[in-house]
Amino acid sequence: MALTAMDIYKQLPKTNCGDCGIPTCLAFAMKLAQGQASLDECPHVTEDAIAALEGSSAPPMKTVTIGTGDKALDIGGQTVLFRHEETFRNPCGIAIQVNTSLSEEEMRERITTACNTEFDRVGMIFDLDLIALNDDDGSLPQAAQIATEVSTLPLMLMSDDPESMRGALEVCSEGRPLIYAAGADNFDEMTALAKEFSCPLAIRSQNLDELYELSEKAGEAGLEDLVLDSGARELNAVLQNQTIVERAAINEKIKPMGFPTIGFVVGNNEVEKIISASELIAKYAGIVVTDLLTREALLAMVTARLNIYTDPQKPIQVESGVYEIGEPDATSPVLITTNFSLTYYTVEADTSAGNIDAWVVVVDTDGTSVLTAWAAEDFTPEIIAKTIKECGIEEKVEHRIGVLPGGVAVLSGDLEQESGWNIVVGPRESSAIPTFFKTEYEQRIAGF
Amino acid sequence: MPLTIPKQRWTAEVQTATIGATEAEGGTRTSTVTIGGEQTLPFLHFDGETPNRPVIAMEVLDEQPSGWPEPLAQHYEDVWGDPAAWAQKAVEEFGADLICLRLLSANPDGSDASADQCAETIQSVLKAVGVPLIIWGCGNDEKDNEIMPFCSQAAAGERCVLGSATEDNYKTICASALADNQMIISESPLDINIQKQVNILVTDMGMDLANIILYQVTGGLGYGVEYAYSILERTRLAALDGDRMLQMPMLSIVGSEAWRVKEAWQSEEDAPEWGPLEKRGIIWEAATATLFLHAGTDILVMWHPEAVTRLRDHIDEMMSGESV
Amino acid sequence: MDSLTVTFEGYGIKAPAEAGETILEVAARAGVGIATYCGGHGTCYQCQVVVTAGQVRPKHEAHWQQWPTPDGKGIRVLACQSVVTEDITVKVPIGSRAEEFIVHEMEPLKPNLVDLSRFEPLSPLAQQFVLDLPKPTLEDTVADMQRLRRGLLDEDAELEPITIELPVLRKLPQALRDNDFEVAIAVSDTGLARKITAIRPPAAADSSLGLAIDVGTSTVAVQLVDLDSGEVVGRAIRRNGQIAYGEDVISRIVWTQKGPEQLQNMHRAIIDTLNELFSYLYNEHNAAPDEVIAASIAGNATMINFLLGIDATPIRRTPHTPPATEMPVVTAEQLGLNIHPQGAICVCHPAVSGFVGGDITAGVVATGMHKAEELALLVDVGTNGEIVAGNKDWLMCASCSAGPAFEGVGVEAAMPATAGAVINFDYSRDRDAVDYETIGNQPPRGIAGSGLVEMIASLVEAKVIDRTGNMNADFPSDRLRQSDGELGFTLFEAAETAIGEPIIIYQHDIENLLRSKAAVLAAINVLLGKLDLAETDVEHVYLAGAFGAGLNVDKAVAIGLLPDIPRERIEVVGDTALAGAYLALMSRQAREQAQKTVSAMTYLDLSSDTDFMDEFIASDFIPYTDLSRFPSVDM
Repeated sequence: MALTAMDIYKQLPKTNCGDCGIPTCLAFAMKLAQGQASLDECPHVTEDAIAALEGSSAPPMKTVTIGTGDKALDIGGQTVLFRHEETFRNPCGIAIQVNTSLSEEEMRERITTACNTEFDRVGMIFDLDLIALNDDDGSLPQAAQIATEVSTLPLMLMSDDPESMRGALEVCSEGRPLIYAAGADNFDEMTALAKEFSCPLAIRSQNLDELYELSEKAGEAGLEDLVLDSGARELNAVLQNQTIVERAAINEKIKPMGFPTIGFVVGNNEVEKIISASELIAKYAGIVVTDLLTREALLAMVTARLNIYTDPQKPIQVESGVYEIGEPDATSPVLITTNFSLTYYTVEADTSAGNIDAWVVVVDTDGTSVLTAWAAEDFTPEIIAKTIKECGIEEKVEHRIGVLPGGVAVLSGDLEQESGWNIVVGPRESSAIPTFFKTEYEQRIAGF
Repeated sequence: MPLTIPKQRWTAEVQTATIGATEAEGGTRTSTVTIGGEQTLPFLHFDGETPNRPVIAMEVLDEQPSGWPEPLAQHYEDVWGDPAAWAQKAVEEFGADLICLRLLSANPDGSDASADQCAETIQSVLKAVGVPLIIWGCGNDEKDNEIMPFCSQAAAGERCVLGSATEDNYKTICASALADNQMIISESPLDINIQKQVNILVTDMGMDLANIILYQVTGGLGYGVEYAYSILERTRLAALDGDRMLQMPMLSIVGSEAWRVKEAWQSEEDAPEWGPLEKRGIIWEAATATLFLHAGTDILVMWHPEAVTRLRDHIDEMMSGESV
Repeated sequence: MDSLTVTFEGYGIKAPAEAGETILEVAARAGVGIATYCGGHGTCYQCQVVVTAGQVRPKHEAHWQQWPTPDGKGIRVLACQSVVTEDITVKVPIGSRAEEFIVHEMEPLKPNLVDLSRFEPLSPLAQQFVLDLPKPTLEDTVADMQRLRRGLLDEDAELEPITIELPVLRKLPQALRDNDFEVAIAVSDTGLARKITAIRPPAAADSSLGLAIDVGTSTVAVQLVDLDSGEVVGRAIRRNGQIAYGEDVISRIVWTQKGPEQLQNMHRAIIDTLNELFSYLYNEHNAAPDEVIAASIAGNATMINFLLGIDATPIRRTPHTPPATEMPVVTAEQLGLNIHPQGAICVCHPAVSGFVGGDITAGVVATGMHKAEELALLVDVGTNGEIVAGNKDWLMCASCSAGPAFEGVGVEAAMPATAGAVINFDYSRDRDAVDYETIGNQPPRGIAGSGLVEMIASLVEAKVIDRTGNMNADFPSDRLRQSDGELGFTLFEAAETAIGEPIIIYQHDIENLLRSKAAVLAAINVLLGKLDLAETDVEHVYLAGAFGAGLNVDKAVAIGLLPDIPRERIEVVGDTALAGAYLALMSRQAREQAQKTVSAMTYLDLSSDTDFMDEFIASDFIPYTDLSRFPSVDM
C-alpha cells in the first residue's frame, strides 16, 4: 500500500520553510506521494522519517537498458497496471527477428531494412528498436559480426548454446546486446557470460514458478539487468503470465518479478501476427519480437505502441488547417475552432449531424478547448487571423465570412480587424450548430 | 519456493445479458447471444470466470455506402441496397453472431425513408436471418425519434438492442424499448461519468439495468483508440469493483472507426510508404478490434470478413485456454 | 450641436445625446448598463434594444440589421450600430441589461465571524491620538516633528518606530500653531513602522472611522467602522462597475490588454464604485471623508491589481503568477479614494496565488479554521469558487471558475439579494403553483442565489428538468414554453411580478447554474481526494459568498452544490472576505495571522488537473453521478 500525502506529511518538519524549493511541507508530501520528488530534497528531514518513508519509494520494476549511445533502448520501469492511472513509462521495444541461417546478403538486407524503417506521425519519427539474431544454425558469432557492421540498432542474441553465445559476445558485447536466454539447463553458463561481458540477460523458464526461482538465483548471482520470459507461447497463456508477472512486480513488489518481460509474436499469417502483437503491446510486454517486416504491419504495430504509451492526460490534437465536412464548395460556411481533438470532433459530429456542408478552420491551440485556449491567450484574434491567412481557406471560398464560437464572442471585433473577414458569432455550444444554421446564419450574413 | 499467484479480489461481476428471443421466448430468433458475466478482466482465467465469449456483430447498411475502398467494397457490392441479402451473407458466409443494422436511409437530408419503410426493412432482415439484431437509426435525433417507435414495434418481442440513448436524447428510445421488450444501447462521448449519467437517466425512466448495453463513442487505431481503450478498461474495473451503473456488457464500433482512418483507405499512389492497400484496412480493423477486446468489450461491431474470421479465431484461442 | 434626448424606458432616465452618437454610447454615459462583449463592433449581438419611438440611423449601412418585435411595437436593433439623430425612446430587454448598479443597504455579518474578542488587545490599522503638546519655549526648542513624536511615544511607547508623511510634515508647523499645540493625530500601521498620516484640530476629529472593503468580481461590499470601538456604523453593497468590461476576471484582463487607457478605465471603474459606496455611507451616517483614516481591503488577486492600477495580465498566462501577492500600504490620495487624503489604504490580506486571493486568506482568518483542531472546509462561491480545507496543522486551497450565475449575473431571471429578490422557492407539480418568499415581501423582481438553489431542487423534484438539467419537453404545464428557439419555464407570470414582465428560467440558465455548482463540487472533491479524505471526515463547512443566511442547506446538498455532509455541520456564513477585512482593520493580530496563513497554505492548481475535469463532468449532474456518494439525497 503506497503512503498517502497525509501519511508522509506527518513525518515532515511542517515548518513550511520552502528550503526544498516547494512552498509548503504538504505540497512536498504530495509530490513525494506521486513519486515526483525525493525525500533527500528536504534538508531538515529526520532520521526517523527517512526510515519510515524510504521503503515505500523504491521503484517496483527495474528499467533495463539494451545497447549504447543514441539508439540504446530502455525498457521496463513501469509503475502502474493501467494506463489511465499514469503514463506507462518506457514504450516497449520492437525487435525484428533475423535468422542466422539466412545468406549473408539476405541477412544484410533484412537488417538494413529494419534499421531504415521509420514512420512519420504527428510530426515525429517512429522507428524500430532491436535486431534479434536467432541462432537457428549455430552461426551466431558470424551473424553477430555482420550485424555489428550493418546494424544501427542494438542487438538481441538468441541462442541456448553458451558457446555460440560466447562467440557472438566476443564480437559485439561492446554494443551491450541482450543475451537471450538463460534457462534451467544453461543457467550457470549464461549468467557467467552476462557477468563477464556486462550485458543484460533474459531468463526463459518452463513456467512461472521456475521463472521466479531463476530470477531470484540470477539476482543472488549479482545480476541486476534482467528480462523475463515465462516460456508461454500460446496467446492465452501469454496474457495470463504477463499479467501475473506485472501484478507481482507492481502490486506485490515481489523483487524477482520486478523486471521487464519479453514476448514473441505468433500467428500463421500477417493478420494473426498483428493480433498477437497488439495484445503484447497492450498487455505489458517490454520487448515484442516479430519476424514481420512489411510496411503495413509495422505501421500498425508502431501506431498501436504510440497509442498505448501516450500520456493519457495529454489532450490529443488534430492538425491545424482546413477540414471539410460533407461536400463544401466556394459558398459554404467557414467555422473556426481549436485543435483539441474532442472539440474538433464534436464540431464535426454536430455539423455533419445537421447535414451542413462546411469548412472548418482549425487553429493550433496546443490541444486545448475554445474557452481554455482563450483564457490562456492561445486563441487570440492575431493567432486566428494568421491561421485564416495561412491555411489556404481564402483560396477555397469566395466569401470572407467566418463563424466564431459563441463563447469567445468577445474576440469578434478584433478578429474582423485583424483578418479583414466578416465574423459571425455562432452558438456557445456545438450542439446548437444545426439549429444555428437552420434559423440564424442566413439572416446574420445577409448584411455582408 | 514457488510464486504466489497475485489474484485480484474483485467484489462484483459483469451483468449477463441475452440478446434475441426465440419462439419459446416470444420472438422468432433461431439463436440468441449471451454475453457478460465476467468475473475478471478479459481472459484472466486464473483470476475468475469468463462464462461467455465476446461476440462479433457485423454491420449491415440499408442503403449503398459511399466511398468504401475496394478491399472492403468487393465483399458487399452484390448485396448493396438489399439489407436482407446483406444480413444473410454476413451470417451465412462470414459467420456473424449478430447483425447490426443501420437505417441510414431515414436521414432527412438523404433518402428520407419513412418510419413505415424502416419498419419494413427490419421485418425483412428479421425474416432473412435467425440471429439477434442491433438496430440503429440514421443519427439525426429528430428523425430517429420519429422512426424508432415503429422500428421497435416492427421487432416487438424479438429482444433487439436499440441504439442509442444519449444524455440529450433518451426518452423516445426508452419508451419504445419498454413497450416492446427490447434492450437499449446507452451511448456516451468517451466519458465514464456521462455513461453513468445516461444509465441513471434511463433507469429514472423505468429501464431495467439488465436491458442496457454500454457504448462509448470511439476512435480507430491512430485516431483516439487509446482513449476508448482506457475508458473501456476503467469501466470494466469499476464494474468489477461493484459500480452497479457500469456493470453492463460493452459494445465497440470497430469497422467504421478503423476504416475511417487514413491509413486504412488512402491509395498506394498517395501513400506508398504504408504498404499495399488491400492489406492495410484489414490489419487496421484487426488491430483496433484486438485492443478493444483486451480492454474488455463484449460486442465487436465489424466490417471486413477476414478481420472477422481472424478475430473469431483469436477469441476462440483466448477462451479455450486453461487457467495457468 | 443639437442636444437630443434618449429616453430609457423602465429606467426613468432621459439622457442627453448628441447627433451621431450610438445608443450604446449614450447609455454608457447615462449609466444604463447594456451588455456588450465585442466592444461595440456589432458582432456579439449582446446589445439588442428596442426603439419604441423615433428613428435611428445605421452606423454602417452595409452592416445594418433590424428585426421585428414579437408584439409589433418598435424595432429591435443593436445599440452599438444605431446612431441617434432625433429624440427616441429605447427599451432595454432583460437579456441585454447589464446589471443595475444601485447601492443597497447590506445585512449585518454573522456575529461569530466578526468577534473581536478573539483578537484582543485591538490595534486598528489607524488610530487617532489627541495630544496636548507642550508649547516650545527657549528651554524646550525641540522641533515640531520631534515634539510630536515625543508626545505620541509618551502616549504609547509601542508606536516606535514611527515616521511621518511629507504632505503631513508640510502642514505640521501651521497646524500646531493654529491649534495651540492641541491636535488630533492619526497614526497608521504599515506592518513595519507606524506612520503619522493626519493632523487636525481636535474638534474636527470627534470620531475616527475606518472602512472594511470586499472587492468582489461581481459585488463590492463596504462597512463603515468606528475605529475606537469597532462598532459597525453602516454597510453598503453594490455591483462592481467593472462588469461593463466583462463578467469574470479573465474577460476583464482581456479587456485591459487592449491598451493602457483601458487599464486606467478598469482602475477608475472600481475607484468610482467604491467612492459611490462611500458617499452613500457618508450620507446615511452623517460622516465626512476626512474622518475616515484607514481602509482595509480584501479581494481576489486580479481585483486588487486593478484597484491599484497594476496590469494583471500575468495572471491570465500560464503559470498564472500575480504581479504581487503582498501589496504596500498606500494613501487614499494615491488611489483617488474619497477618504482622508493621507488615510492608509491597506490590502491587509496577501494572496496565495493568482487565483486564490486575499479574500480567501481573509475568510480563513474570519472563520478561525486555521486555529481549530477540527477539519473544516471553507467554500466561497463567488464568480470564482474558492475552496480551503484544513485545520491548525495544515491548509490547502484551490480555485475554480464557477462563473457568476449564483450571483445573479448571466442568468436572466436572477438578481442580487435585494428587495424583491426571491429567496425561497418551491414549485408544486400537483397545483402547478409556486410558493415563494421575497426580500421585503415585495412582488418578485428576480431570483437571488438561495432562491436559485431551491428552484433547481424543486424543478428536479417535480421532473420539470432531469438530472442533467434538460427540460422535459413533455412536462404537462403551460409554464413550459418555447421562446427564441429555446425551452423556458415561467416561474412568475407578468401580472405577478414587479417588473411587468414574466420571470422565466431558460434551458441555458439551468445549464449555467449547473456548471457553476459542478465546478464548486468538483473542486471540493478533488481537494479532498488529493489528501485521501472523504466528505464524512469534514467536521465543519463554512459556505461563504453569494448565498444569504436564508439558504436551505438541505437543498444545497440536494442539488449537489455541496457534498453529502450531515447538515448540522454546514454553516452559511455570508461574506467572509468582508469579515476578514473588518478584523484586519481592527486588529494587528488579525493582520499578522493573515500573513502566516498564506505561508502555511498549499495551493492546488486545478487548471491543469485531469482529476478536476473528470470530477467536473461527474458533478455536472444532480446531485452527482455517483449516487452512492449522496446517500441522504432521495429523488
